[in-house]
Amino acid sequence: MPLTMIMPAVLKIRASYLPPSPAFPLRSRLLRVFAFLLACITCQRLAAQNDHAADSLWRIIKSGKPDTNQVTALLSWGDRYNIQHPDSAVLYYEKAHALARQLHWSRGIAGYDSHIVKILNDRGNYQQALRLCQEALRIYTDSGTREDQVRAYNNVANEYQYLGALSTTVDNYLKAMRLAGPLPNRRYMKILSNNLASVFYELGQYDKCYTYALQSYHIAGQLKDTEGIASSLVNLGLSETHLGRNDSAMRHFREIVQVGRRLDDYTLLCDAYVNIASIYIRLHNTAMAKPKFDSVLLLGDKYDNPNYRMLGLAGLADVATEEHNWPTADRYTKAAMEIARALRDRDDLVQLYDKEATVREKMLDWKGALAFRNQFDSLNDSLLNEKTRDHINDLETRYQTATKDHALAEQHLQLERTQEIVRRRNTQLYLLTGGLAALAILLLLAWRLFRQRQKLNRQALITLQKDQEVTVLKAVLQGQEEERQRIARELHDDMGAGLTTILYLSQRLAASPTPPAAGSPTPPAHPTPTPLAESPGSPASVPPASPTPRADPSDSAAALTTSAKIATTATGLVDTMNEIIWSMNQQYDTLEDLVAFIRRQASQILDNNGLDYHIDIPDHIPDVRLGGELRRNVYLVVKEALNNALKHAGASLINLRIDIDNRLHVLIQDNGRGMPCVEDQPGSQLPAEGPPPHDPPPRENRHHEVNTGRRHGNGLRNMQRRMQRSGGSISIVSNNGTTVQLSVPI
Amino acid sequence: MTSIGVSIIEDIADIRLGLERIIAGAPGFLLLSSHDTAEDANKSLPEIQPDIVIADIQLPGMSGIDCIRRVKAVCPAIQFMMFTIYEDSEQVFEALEAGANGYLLKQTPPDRILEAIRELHQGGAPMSAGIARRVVTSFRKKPSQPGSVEILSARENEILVLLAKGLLYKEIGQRLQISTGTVRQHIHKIYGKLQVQNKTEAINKAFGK
Repeated sequence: MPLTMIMPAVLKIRASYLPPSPAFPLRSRLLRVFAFLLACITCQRLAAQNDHAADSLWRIIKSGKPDTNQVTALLSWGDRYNIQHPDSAVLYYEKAHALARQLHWSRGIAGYDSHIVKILNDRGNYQQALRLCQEALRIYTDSGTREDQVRAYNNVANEYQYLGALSTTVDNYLKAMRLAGPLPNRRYMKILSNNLASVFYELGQYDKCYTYALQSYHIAGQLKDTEGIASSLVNLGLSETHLGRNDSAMRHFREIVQVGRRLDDYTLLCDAYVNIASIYIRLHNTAMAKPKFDSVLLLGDKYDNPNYRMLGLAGLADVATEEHNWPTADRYTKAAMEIARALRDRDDLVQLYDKEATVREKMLDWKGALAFRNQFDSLNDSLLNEKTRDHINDLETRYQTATKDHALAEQHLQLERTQEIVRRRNTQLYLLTGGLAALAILLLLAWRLFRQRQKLNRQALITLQKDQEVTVLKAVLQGQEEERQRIARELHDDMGAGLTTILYLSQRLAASPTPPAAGSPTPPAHPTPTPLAESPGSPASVPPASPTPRADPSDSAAALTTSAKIATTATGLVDTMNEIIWSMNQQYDTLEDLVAFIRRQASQILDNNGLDYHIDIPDHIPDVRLGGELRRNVYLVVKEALNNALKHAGASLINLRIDIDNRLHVLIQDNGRGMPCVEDQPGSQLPAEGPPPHDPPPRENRHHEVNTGRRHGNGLRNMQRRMQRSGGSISIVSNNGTTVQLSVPI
Repeated sequence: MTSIGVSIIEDIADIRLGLERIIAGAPGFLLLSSHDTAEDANKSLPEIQPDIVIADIQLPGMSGIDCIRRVKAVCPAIQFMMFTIYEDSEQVFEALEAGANGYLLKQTPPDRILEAIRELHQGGAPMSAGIARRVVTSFRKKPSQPGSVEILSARENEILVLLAKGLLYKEIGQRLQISTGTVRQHIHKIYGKLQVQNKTEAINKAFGK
């Protein structure tokens, strides 16, 4: 029974300042409401069935025609046995199922699911029932009407409620409600509101229970649905009782009494009496409470309903307890206990053990008290175990259905729930300790304390883990934000400049008079696909970076220089973009990737320029992850150093060496003539004076010298800034060539 | 020596024209057709039978990767060279799994483009350190079903590991004492196995093995 999971805990919390009885009968009434709703929903398709229809049903079944009508008829026929002879009902349901499968009629299969579920529920086989309800939901989601889907979601929710997975229950009721909202038939909204009210009652969220029960009450009123009004009133009254609004609770229960009289339904009367009497007990008004419990006992006798007899007896025991009439309390409690045992009603039994233990204590019968206390403990433990298991089920289900978008919210929710459990455990621990101390069984006490502590620690550990997960998630989000800002900065700094350069160059190109041969658009596009013959006579293309200028007039030569510059800048931009993408790519975020990338790019640059080089890299590289910015900074500094050696130092041999300890060290050494601008750099040594150690390189672009010098200085400053940003250092020494050494923490 | 027949699939007209000029103007190359969509190429290529197709990956409509799958299914001899800006992208790897024989960076200078086509025609193939790493993990993470999947040879593994470390073909050749051409041939074979393995995996998936 799903309701047992929550109620004992509620009871125990209240026990310290309220007599335990009020909550006790309330639960039984609630159980009835919930079961009633389930039956109401699942039966509704066949509600119109009567004896007249029975004849025609039987004719269809006798005909034995294997069609969909037969399936429906078998299901309806089974319903006739549903309550009295469940085994016969199962027989017909199974026949219908087999036929539906044979016909591949999915709606028939779903119909079978919905019918057999009632019996599975009666037998307490909720897991199997849940699987079938989910199958029906899948089928109806594909091919059912909106109403079918509402019913299917409601039934799935019912099963979850039985299984104690309460938040999943709420989810499914809410889904059903979203679908039911637009339906003209308000009955669904009424039933769903009331069902939600009952879940929130179980969850101990009485204000929400109240809100939904009120909604259900209003709709039932509009529909003039007396039964519906009665069930909504029960939930209204119950939530109000828990919210301490005794007066309006009393008013609502009295309204139930009137409805019960009008409908001539003794169960409504009994439930209302029990609840009203319980409120009186709470107000210590035993004179008003006693006659109500008497009536319940009488009605239970009259209609031979052991459940109400038990409720009446238990209530009378409470009255006696309140009046300190211990022998009477003892008698009533024992009688109630006997019925509860026969009914196998473990939830009520556990309460009765608790009461009886207290009564025996008062009668100074310590041995009897101890015996009942032991019975209470062992039964309560097993109920609590079920509760813990159901909570684990619930968490699992939540985890599976959680979506990525809700991950953070989900964690907060679970955190709250865990704290709630911890709080309840605390209260239980307190009560347990109190009761046992009174009996002075210190040994048992110590053992129990130890066990509870263990549970608490486990819960605290879970809370801690959730906390950490939230922190990690926050850190990840912050990291992503920083990464975005870095990329924006790099797009602006590194790509913006190049694109602006191209813009100005192309404007210059447009302004200069261009001979048609050089700059004219290419011939019109061929209609595609056009098989093209090779045309050996046609002039070669004008490749953007073509190193061979064409023999054209001087204007076009200038234009060519400009277009060559555009091509160079564009190539540089593509490289820059690739480097940015590489640094963003999480697939390449290890130290090993960085080293491989540096090695590959360096050897390519050096090889392309025909330089001798020697690369020295450790065989084993530790498995370390690096941020995109660090990877990019290190790579760009190495690239800049290589470019300096190539373009400005006129070197012919380059050594690249990488060492790794707790930092990454890169050494780039060339045999060129040193750096012209090293004095700009604080902390760097001056270049060696005297003639360059090597012959000057070809000087066809000597007039660029000043210009390059400044750019060169900028480059060095850039290297330094990048290393600072990554928390690293760089030193540049010019002495018989240049040695650049950089080192960053990893 | 016969000329190399080349087709082009590229949706941006300026780039397509540039490529056409480079190939049409070069001795030893024969521009057979050029297409602006994969659908169009898909229809025509089996008839035209080029030696090599230079194909953009991102095209309007059908992607270059789908185009490879379809054309390769009919004419496995046609070689595809993906035309891409960024070599270490997921798409390049997917294209290679689909049967592409290599890739070409869009920013490659014209003379290098011709060289790359020639190399591919002679059975070579380019591979970056990043792609090599992906290939290694791809083979490692799917344990081979006996008989169905080709396994990399020891030499192929060796080459992949060196590539993943960032060594150039030339350097690998020197270290293993084989020619650069041989290294290329090995890479070509690795791509073939990657494709077979990918296909087998797709079939296994379809049959729920």
